[in-house]
Amino acid sequence: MYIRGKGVAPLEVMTVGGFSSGLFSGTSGSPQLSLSGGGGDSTIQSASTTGSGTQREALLNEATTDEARGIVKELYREGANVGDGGTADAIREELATGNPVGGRSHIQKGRERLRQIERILQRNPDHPDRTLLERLRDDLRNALEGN
Amino acid sequence: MNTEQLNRLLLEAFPELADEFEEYTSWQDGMETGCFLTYEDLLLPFARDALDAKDDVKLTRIGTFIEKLVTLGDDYAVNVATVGLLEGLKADGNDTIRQYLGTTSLAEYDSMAY
Repeated sequence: MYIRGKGVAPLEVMTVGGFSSGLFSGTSGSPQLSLSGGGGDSTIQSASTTGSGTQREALLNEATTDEARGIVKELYREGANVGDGGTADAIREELATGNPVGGRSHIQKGRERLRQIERILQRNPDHPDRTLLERLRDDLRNALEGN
Repeated sequence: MNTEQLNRLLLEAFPELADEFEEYTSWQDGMETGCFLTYEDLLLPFARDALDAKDDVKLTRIGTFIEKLVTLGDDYAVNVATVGLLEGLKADGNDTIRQYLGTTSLAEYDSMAY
């Protein structure tokens, strides 16, 4: 069983069915739950934790720059439903079960995006989306470290 | 195939992306910038624009290129082509790209669950 969002330092942590959910910076509402069999134990995941949209939409709404929005769009593909729909949770699933999501590994993609976000933050310490990018970075880093 | 080789393949197939590529990679790792980044952030928007414009010529080139990547027998190329490109195109929900894909890439595309 894998725990999504573990290790992320969110501004607000929402607990869904005993699992901590990570990336949201705020919002409330009734979470919608989806059941998804990973490999082995069943996993309860929140497909939506805003009550009005997906994690992807919430992160896109939070982003203020095209740079951050572009990264969110590629990390959180429309319709992806493993964990919170992000690459980090796909990596967690893959590391926990040994089965790559969709039959293809997302680990290298996660590594490359992590490096890119680190670069952006180094290059522009005052980035308008710094908080969001730091959370994406931490989520990817934790996932790649098996957390 | 390493990152530089796969980036070179991208530029050979799509020389019109050269300027954008240079600018995009100038603050990253140049020709060694990760190919998930270059393919997702440069080729994928190019493909999306071609789909929006119904540009048959460009879409044929894109489909042929993706088929080439998935049949190279190289793990990195296949990973970038499937997770980076096909997954992104499938997620967009515009199946027009199907008619431009070759046998192997079409099978990959159709097997993706979205």
